[in-house]
Amino acid sequence: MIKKWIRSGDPMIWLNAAAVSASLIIVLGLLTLIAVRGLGHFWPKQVMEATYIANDNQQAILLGEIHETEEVTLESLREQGLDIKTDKEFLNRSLIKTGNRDVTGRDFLWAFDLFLNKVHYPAAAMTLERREWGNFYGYLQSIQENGKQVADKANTWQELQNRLERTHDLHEQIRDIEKGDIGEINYQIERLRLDERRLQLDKVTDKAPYAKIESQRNALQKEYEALQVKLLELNNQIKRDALVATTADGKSITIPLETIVRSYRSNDMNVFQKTVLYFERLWEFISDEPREANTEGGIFPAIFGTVMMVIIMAILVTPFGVVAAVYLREYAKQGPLTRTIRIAVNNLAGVPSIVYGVFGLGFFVYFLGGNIDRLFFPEAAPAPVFGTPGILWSSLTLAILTVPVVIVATEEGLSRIPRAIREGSLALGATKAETLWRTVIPMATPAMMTGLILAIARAAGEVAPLMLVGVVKLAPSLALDTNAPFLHLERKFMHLGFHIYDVGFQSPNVEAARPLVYATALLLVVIIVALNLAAIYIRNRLREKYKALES
Amino acid sequence: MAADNMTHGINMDALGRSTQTLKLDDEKPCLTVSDLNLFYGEKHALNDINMMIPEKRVSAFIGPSGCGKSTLLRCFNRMNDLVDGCRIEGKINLYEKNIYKKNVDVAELRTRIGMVFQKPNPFPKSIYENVAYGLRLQGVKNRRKLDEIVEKSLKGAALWDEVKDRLHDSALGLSGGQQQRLVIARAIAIEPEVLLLDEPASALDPISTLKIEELINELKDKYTIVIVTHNMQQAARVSDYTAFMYLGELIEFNNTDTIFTNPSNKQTEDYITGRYG
Repeated sequence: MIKKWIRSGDPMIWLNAAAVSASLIIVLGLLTLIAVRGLGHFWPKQVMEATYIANDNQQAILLGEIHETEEVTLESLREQGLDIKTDKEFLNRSLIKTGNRDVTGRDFLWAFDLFLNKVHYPAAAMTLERREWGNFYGYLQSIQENGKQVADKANTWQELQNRLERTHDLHEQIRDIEKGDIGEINYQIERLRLDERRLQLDKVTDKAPYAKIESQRNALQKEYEALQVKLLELNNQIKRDALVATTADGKSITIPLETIVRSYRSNDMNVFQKTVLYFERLWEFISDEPREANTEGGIFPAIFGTVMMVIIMAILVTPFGVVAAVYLREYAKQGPLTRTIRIAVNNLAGVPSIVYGVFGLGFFVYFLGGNIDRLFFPEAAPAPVFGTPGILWSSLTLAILTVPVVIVATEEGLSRIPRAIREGSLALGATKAETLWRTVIPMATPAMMTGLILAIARAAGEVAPLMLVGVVKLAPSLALDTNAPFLHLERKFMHLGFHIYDVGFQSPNVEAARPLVYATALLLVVIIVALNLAAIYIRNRLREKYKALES
Repeated sequence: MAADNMTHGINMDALGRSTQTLKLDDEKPCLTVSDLNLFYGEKHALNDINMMIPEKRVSAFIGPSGCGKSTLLRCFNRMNDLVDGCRIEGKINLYEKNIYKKNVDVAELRTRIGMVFQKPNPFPKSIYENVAYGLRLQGVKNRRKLDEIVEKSLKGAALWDEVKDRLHDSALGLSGGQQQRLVIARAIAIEPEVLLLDEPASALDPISTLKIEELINELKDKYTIVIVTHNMQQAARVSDYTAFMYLGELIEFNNTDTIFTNPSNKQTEDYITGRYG
């Protein structure tokens, strides 16, 4: 009976199906976990107020959001030296985000649910997202203009929103001037300095070029001073307003409006308002720059850096891999040597990526970059231009890392082009090279795209080598901007993968950063999927074009 | 004699012609093969071939599989150069010039000696681009000239009426027979002097085969045609001269009527009458 069952092959089918299901469940589970944890973070949570009465009858009033709840055994708590008077075997404890780090010195605390009394959700409880010191939870008391109280009690909240809007406008203007205009002037002044230095190094004695630089510098300096005055004015304006709020235990503090990103009272909001706020916060996460050591704000520079690095990598790796594959498959004499090379190429794909990182640092950054600096940028010395980790070296390192994949895929594609097609072209008087470029290589493009897809998938997720050749925790400026020559390949960049590591493990405020780790991970997955889908779409279009002939 | 043909299942008059009056000695030579030997590694594939292909006639190569007829055909445009381990001795003259001389430009040679293969092999491009391929290789860029030649070639290959409204569609959408005529159009677009046809109808249905045969008949006024076929009726129908090959040797080459009705060699007769092959 059992023997018959085994012979029928059913157990094997069940086993295969089970393996497939297990993989599916793992992937879906992973995606769901990071999606729920990551996306849930942006939903405005209820703000709870409770009186915490500990064992020793000390009382404290807590105001904050419950982040997570876990169950612990009394046993383990006893072992830790916590003596809790209860007859229950299991206790719930919650991680409460109480914010107010400037007042209490911490953001989060664990509280046993058992000790939480009089839990309620006051409608007036206010959340302030601040540029520094994290969130503030408390009650709005009054608003001050230049230190004097304004607005009556009844519409304080509305008044706060209006004034916040004004402050945000000003903040935006200040940012534009600081990052945009002043940034540009600084960039130009720096270039003038380098020009001057180059003249000195070239031992130019003619006065005219120096004078020209000097006059340009003076013009920029004047522009800068004008902007400085404007900036000062704006800074004075933005400092005008402040609010007075009380914390849960009654302490009153004054908070300047310029430090506030957003204010809301989540207990008083309906679902629609919360949804709007949710998307606002999600958009901020995607489009804004990070603040507070990357634990708050957005991750736009990291998204930008990741995508740009992958694109540069793709631009570098494709021609390189294709040319190598064409030689190996079409021109090289097939024999033991080519076989050895092929094995070596395949093995390159298995070398641990950190090894490539070390190689990139030693060869690209120090050797190549150092020599480029010596030859082309002597005026910048001792500051390195290319002789320091940067996005170009990262892309190059990853290009080397992924080139075996492209070579193997392209070779495969070339070997599948029917002999009849090559002969047809040759018979029309084409040389071998013409046949290759006009017919064979176009027909192999779908295979090249397959290689590129694999290369992108591998490169976008790679972090370890990048830490050596170009990724930083916080890049002051993007590698693409409005200052000529627009593309600054020598700059350092931020990367989502490294951002996950940095926020999750190097952050001063791990609890606050944890949801961001999930959200960033989700975004990284989404970006890799998007890049892949784009490449797959192109490949399928090409395949459509060159199909048939496979009979 | 006609009755004799019928008993062999060969209808000599399918295309209403007879080659009886043709004499090889009167023809102007186009390709002259002398002492040709070809080796694939150790294998001696062609053995001391000597023959003359007459200009502006259709010459057919027949013989059992593996007798070397395709190999000989591929010698004419040096397609065998591409085969690893292939070695050729002797010479083939295209008119006066030896095509196996060292300094011969093979690509140029192949523009003078076109070839059509057994299986239709259009490029995955539009019909227009397929025909224009050879011209573009020669650097023709003038759009009007290209249009003109494409039309002329497609008409020459009896395909124009079927494809004139979809010149810019993919060539892969055509039927097998149409593809084969497209490939012929592609070959004649660069106006070669010689057309080599390697079993051009063996992958086609009877109607397409007939079309190709009619086409060959029309083309022979302008081109020297060499056709390899394993279909003896086809050789009889389309060719002026027929060569019989066996085991890498040229057994007999004469006008088609003579080969099919009065072969001078016993092996030829055995093959024609179906005793082996």
